[in-house]
Amino acid sequence: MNKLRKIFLWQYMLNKRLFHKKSFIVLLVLIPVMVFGMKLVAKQDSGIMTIMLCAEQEGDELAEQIIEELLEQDSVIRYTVGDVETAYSAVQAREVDCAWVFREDFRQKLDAFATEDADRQAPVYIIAQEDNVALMMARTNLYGVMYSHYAYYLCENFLQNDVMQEEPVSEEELRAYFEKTAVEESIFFVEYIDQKAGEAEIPFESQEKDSLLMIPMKGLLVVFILLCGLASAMYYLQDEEKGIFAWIPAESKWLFSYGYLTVAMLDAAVVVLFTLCLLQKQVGIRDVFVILLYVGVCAVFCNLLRVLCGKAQNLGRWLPLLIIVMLVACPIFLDFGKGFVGQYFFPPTYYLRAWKNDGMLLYMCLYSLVLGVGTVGLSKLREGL
Amino acid sequence: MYKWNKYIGTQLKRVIKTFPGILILTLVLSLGMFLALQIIFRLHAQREENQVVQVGIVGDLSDSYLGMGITVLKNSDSVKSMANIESMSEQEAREKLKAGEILAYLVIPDGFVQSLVEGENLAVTYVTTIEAQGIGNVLINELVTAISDMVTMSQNAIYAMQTYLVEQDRNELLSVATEELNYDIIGAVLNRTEMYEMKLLGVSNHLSLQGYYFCSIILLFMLLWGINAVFLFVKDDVSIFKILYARGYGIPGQVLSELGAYFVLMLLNMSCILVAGMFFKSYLGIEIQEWEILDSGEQFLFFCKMIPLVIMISAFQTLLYELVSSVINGVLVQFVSAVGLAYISGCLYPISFFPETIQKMAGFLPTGVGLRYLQKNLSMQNVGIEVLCMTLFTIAFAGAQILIRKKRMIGK
Repeated sequence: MNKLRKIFLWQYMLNKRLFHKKSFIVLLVLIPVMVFGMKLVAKQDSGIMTIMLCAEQEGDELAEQIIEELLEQDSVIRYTVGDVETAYSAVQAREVDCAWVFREDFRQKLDAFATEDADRQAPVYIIAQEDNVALMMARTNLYGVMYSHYAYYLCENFLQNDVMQEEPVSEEELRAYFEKTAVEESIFFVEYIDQKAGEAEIPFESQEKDSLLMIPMKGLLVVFILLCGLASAMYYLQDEEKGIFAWIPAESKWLFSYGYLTVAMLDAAVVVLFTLCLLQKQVGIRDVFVILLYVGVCAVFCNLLRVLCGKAQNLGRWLPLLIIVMLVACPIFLDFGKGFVGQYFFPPTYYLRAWKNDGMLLYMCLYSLVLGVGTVGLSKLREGL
Repeated sequence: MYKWNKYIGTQLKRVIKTFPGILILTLVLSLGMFLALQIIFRLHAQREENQVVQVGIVGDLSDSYLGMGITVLKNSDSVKSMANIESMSEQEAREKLKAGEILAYLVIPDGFVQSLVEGENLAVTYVTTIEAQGIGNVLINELVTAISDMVTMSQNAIYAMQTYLVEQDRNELLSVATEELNYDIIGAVLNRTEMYEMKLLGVSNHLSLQGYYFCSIILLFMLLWGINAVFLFVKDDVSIFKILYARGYGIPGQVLSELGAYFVLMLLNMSCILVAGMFFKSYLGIEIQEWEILDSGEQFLFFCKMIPLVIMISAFQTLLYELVSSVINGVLVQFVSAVGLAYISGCLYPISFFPETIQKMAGFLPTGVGLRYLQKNLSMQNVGIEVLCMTLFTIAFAGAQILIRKKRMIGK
C-alpha cells in the first residue's frame, strides 16, 4: 500500500513538473482542437481526383440528372460542374484531372446504343491530359451512373423491337413496372474476419467509412504518444547527467525509469482517447486497455532507445529519422500489408493493428517482452564495459 | 561590429561543434528518406503495371453466366488496373486475408445466378478486416459500389420486362425473352468503353508524382530536422541573454546571430543531403523526370535557389525554440508543427486531395509557399511572388522571436 502511494506521489510530482510549463498544456489542448478542425474540414468536398462535369446542351434533362446523381455520390472523386468552353482550359491548366462532357441530345445518343444503331456516337467524351489508372477507376463510376438509365432503354428497346413489335410499349407503363419491381436491397454484405461472433453482417453501403483525409489521424495520434515517451527519455537522460537521480538505489532505477517515461505518455493517451471520442470512434473499456498497453509498449521501446543512445543529444539526433521511418513503415499513410516486416519494429504498428484485433494484443506483449529483455541485456553490457 | 562578429563566431562554433554528429545522422537520415522514396516510387510503378490490391473470390464459378461475369470483371480495364482478382477456396482466402496477402475476398453463394434470375437476391459477402483502412480499401469500395449498382439495375430491367410480359398475358415468351435480355445486358456491359470517347490533350507543364514528392520530402525533412537542434536552442534559463544584453548585445542582434548560425547548420546539412541524395538516387535507380532534364549547372542552381527557403524555415524553427522552455515541449512542438504543416500543405498527401478551403489556406502558409517555391524551381518557373512571401514570413518570424525574447527577459 505504501509502495503504491509512493508511485502515485511520484507520478503526481513528475506531472506537476510537466504541467508547470504552459506550452505543454497548450500542446495537449491543441491536439484535439486540430484534429477536430481537420474532421470538420474533411467533411467538405475532397477527393483523390477532381472531375469537371459538363452538359453540351443546356437544359438536357437526362444529362443534368446524371450530373446531379454524380454530384450527390458519396465518393472519393470530387465533381465540379462547368461548361465545355472552360473544360479544355481547366484540364490543360491541371485545375481538374479530366472533364466528362455529356454530348448534345444525350438521351437519343444513349438510346442509339440500346437500339444498336450503326451510326451511333459515344454519348460522352472525356477530356484529359493523359489516361491513367485513377481515371479508369473513375470511368467505372461514370458507367455505373449512366447504366442506371441505360438499363431502362435496353429493356424498353428489347420489348419494343424484339418481343412486342406488333403493339407499342407505353413508356409510362414500363416506368411504373420499373419502379414497382425495383430491387433496392444490397447484393453485397460486409463481414469482418476479426469481428466478434454473433455480430451481424452489414450492407455494403452502410459500413462506416472514414474520410480519406482522416485515415492517418489515428496513426499520427499514436506517434504523438510515442514521441512524448521519447522526449521524456531525453529529459530523463538530461536529468541523469545532472545527477538528479543519484539518490535512487541502483536496483530501483529501472522501475523508476519506466515510471518516469510513462508520465507524459499517459497524459497524451488521455488526450488521444478524448480526441478519438471527438472523432466519434466508439471508445470503450477495451480501447482504454489497448491504449494503456500501448503506453507500456512505448515505455519499453523508449527505454531501450535511452539505453542504446546513452546521451540525450544522441537520442535527439535520431528522432527525425525515427519519425520519418515510422511514418513510412507503419500503416499510417500507406499500408504495405501485414507481410511487410519493417513495420513490426515500431510500436505504432501494434496499436494500429490491435485496435480491433485481439490476436495482435498477444504480439504486443511478446514485442515488449523481447524489447524488455533486450534493454536489460544492453544495460548489463554497458555496465560491463 | 567587432563584438557582433565575435558573438556570431561563438554561435557558429557552437553549431559547427555539433556538426559531425549531426552529419552522420543526416547521412543516415538521407538513406532512410531515399529508401522511403524508393518504396513510394516502386509502389507507383506497380500501379502503372496494373496491380494495386489483391482480392480473392470464393465460390462455385461453374455457372456459365457467373464464370463469364467474373472473367469480364477481371479483364475490364478499371478492375485490372486496380485489383488482381484470384479465385481460391474459402480456407485459403481466410489464411491469405489474415496474413495480409489479400485485401479482401468475395464469397459467392451457391445458386447466386439463379437467385438473381428469380429475384431472391442471395447476398455476396465481402470479407475484409476491420483494421484494413487505406487507399486500396477506398478504391475497392468505389468499385464494389459501382458493380453492385450495375447488377441491381440489370435485375430491375429483367424484372420489369418479366412483369410487363406477365401483365400482357405473354407468359410463353418469358423464358426466351429473359435469356435474350440477359445477353443484351452482358453485351452492353462488355461494350461499355464505346460509351465514351477519349480526347487526350497530352501532358502539359506540371510536375510528375516523383517530382512532387521530391519537393515534398525535401520540405518535410527540413521541418522535421528542427527536432535534432532542440538541445542547441531551447533554453529554460534566460540569464545568459540578460548578461549579453547588459554587455551591449541587443536582442535583435542576439536573435539574428542565432538565426544565422542555425541557417549555416541547416545549409550544411542540406548540402550533405543533396550530395548523399544524388549518390543514393543513382544507386537506387530512382528517376525524377524534371531533375533528369536539368543539366548539372541547373541542378546546382536549384540547390542555390533553396537558400531563401532554408532561411525562412530556420527563422520559423528558431521562433518555435523561443516559444518553449523544455526539451519535451521543444520536441513535441517541433513534431506537431512539422507534421501538421506538412500534412495540410500537401507534403504527405498531394494537395489536390484536400478540400478547396484547405488548398487555399495552404497557399498562404509558410510551408505551402515553400513547397510551391520548390516545385516552381524544379519546373523552372518564375518564383518572384514566392520569394517575396518568404521574405515577409522570415521578417515576421524573426520579429516575433525578438518580441518573445524581450518578454521572456523582462518576465524573468
